[in-house]
Amino acid sequence: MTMDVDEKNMFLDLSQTLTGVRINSAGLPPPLGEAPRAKPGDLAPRNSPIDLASLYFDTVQVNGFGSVLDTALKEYSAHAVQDRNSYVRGCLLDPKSAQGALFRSLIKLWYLGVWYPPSSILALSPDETTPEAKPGWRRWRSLSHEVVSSQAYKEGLVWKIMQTHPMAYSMFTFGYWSEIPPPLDRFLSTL
Amino acid sequence: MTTDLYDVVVIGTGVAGAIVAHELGRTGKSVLLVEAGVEIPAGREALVERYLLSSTKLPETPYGDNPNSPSPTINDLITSQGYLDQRDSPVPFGSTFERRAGGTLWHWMGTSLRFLPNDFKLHSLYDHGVDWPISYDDLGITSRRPDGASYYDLAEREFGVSADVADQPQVPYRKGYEYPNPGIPLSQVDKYFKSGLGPFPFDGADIKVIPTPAGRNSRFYDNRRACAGNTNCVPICPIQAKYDATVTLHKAFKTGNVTALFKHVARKLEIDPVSGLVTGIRLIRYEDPARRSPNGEVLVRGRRYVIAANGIETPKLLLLSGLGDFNQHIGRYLMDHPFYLRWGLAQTPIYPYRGPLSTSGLDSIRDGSFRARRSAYRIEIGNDGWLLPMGGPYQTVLDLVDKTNVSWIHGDKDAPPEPLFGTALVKALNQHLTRQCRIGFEVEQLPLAGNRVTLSNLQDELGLPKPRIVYSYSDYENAGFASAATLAEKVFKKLGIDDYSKDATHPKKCKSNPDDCKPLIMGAGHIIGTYRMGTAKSNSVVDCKQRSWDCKNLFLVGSGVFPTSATANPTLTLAALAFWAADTIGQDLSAAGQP
Repeated sequence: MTMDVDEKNMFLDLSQTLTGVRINSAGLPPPLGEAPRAKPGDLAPRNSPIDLASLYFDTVQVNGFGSVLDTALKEYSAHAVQDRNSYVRGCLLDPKSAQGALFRSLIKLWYLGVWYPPSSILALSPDETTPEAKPGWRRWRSLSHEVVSSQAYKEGLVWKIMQTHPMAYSMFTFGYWSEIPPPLDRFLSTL
Repeated sequence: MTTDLYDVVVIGTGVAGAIVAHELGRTGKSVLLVEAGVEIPAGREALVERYLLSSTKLPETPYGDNPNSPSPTINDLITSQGYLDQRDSPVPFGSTFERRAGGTLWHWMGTSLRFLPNDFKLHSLYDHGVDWPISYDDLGITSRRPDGASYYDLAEREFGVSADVADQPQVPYRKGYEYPNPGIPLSQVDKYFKSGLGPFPFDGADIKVIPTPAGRNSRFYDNRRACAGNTNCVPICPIQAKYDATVTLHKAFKTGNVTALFKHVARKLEIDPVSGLVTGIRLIRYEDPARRSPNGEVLVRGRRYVIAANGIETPKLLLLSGLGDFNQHIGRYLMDHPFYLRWGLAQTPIYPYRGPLSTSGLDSIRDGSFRARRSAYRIEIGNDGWLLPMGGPYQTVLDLVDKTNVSWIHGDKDAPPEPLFGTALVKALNQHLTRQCRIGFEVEQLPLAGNRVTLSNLQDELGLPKPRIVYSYSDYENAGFASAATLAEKVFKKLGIDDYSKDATHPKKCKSNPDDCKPLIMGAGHIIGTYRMGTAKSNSVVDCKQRSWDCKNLFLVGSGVFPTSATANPTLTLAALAFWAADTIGQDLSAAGQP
């Protein structure tokens, strides 16, 4: 299940569009148009052994959504760079789109390190005890979900997004909590 | 198999058992520690790893299941199954414990507040509950040690409590007392409360932010690192900056006088019917914590016996031994601190999920004339955003990406049509998560005879009865909840915090599910009162020195001896009492002419 370089670059590009966070994988030439040096906030610095892109790509395969991703990558890459955002938006807007459901799972994967199976494919559960559904609200059946790896947990973007660290994994020193954290752009680069 | 005769046999290796064993071991007594669960792991990495990999993050998450020495879990409460038999309980008892070396302190918060002087006199001052047979001075001022330390001093020294006396005006200390470590710096969340409250009178007190004394290093102490703000005290501190009972267990073993039997479950005290003395304790030995694996029995013997097995397992053992026929108070007066949560969004970023899970509280209102009509409470300020009430960042991400509304983050509005992804999602998450805020009221409970632990007809995997729990709130606590709701509303209003608490927000939410508007009340992890101390056998299980009225060579330690719960988290006070029990047992043995 190893990706070829093009596939990986496209997966990263898609992940970047979905997460809004600049992502650069270790050891591979950056996509065309991108500067060759790693920027502050890059998800996977140049010489890091962490390869989340491969881990997450494999997670999609292992959970049976490989062909959905394959279609998504083909459609995504077929769009011109400036049209890719609206392609993604279109999939997310369409409640029947399998790609849209997968995109939501990918966002959660990068943000939380947790695989939540794509959920629009399942029926809505009428006895779900979430607040009353109004038009446009969805009520998902409770899905089992799993942390992909402890490294994925630690690399979850949500903690950087709120200018902190994953719970149980502080890289900071005593007393840091008393000060205002560094601004968001010291934790990651957004698109 | 029968063991040698030890000076002291201690059942349970939590903080109370560890302190008793260490104090007696270092003064030359031979001690046998008995633990139902597994031994101290060589390192905590495996426990932390289990936590990181778990899709639910609960107090029990790092610790795994052991069918030979089961314990209740939060997950049990959700599934209505598990160890405690609560079929007949009006209110589910929401607190859990661990059965392994070090006990429940693996996942305590670290909060180390002393009781207030008036806490010991709830009945004579306020005509509710009962008085303790001891006073604050007995624990906090009087010294029974050559170095002049009080029992609270000793407990604080053992934990390495970080605090400054000047910040704790409601509590009298011995003259010149200093805490072992300087106080922990306030968080940004604390500072937001502090700068916004101003003078805030309520029920005769001025509500203000008070730093919380904590068993958490603010500098290198006792060969352990200073806190690095992993924001994970519950369920496990990855670097042991937070004190846990394995620290004291290690010291106990180092004395050379303390032996331990792990994976041995106590099932019965043998009691001589004529003398009323305990003559031995029967244990079931097992082999493999991963599966049911009993393998023989052991009878352990000591000159003195100490049960330190927490507020549920201790009365269970006493009842299994037939002591319920002689003392009707065993198992009764079960108390917790019902933990009532309120949460919202601040106007500006306050940066939660940073630092220890809590560093201060609005703790200036733990006593007052209002105790004549309602429960007192302490108020914990959380640094953990909406983690407890609403699954923290996980649920926030889900609600924004999936357009669900489990956390009520979208309020009463229609679902926004635009899907949220990319930089818009980053921005929305940052804006929301950095403003999440929560406080929690730990409400004092009255000791009620009907709130109790008995033996269920259901059995665990070793064939021992499961604990059966009946638990409820009284009008006194309900009045406390009502007061807390009023205060929470006023505090949030003053601070400009938008209230998202279940019971505060839109009634429209309740139409489809009334549960959506009930106050959110959890267990605090405190198990109190079930073998209380008192002035006579007619009203209690142990005397003021924690000696059993029924068996003169038997001592009971832990928060089960508390006659009332007050508002402070129980660990520091039970630890202080454990030092006292150790002294009493040591004197007992010396007086009896034992070496």
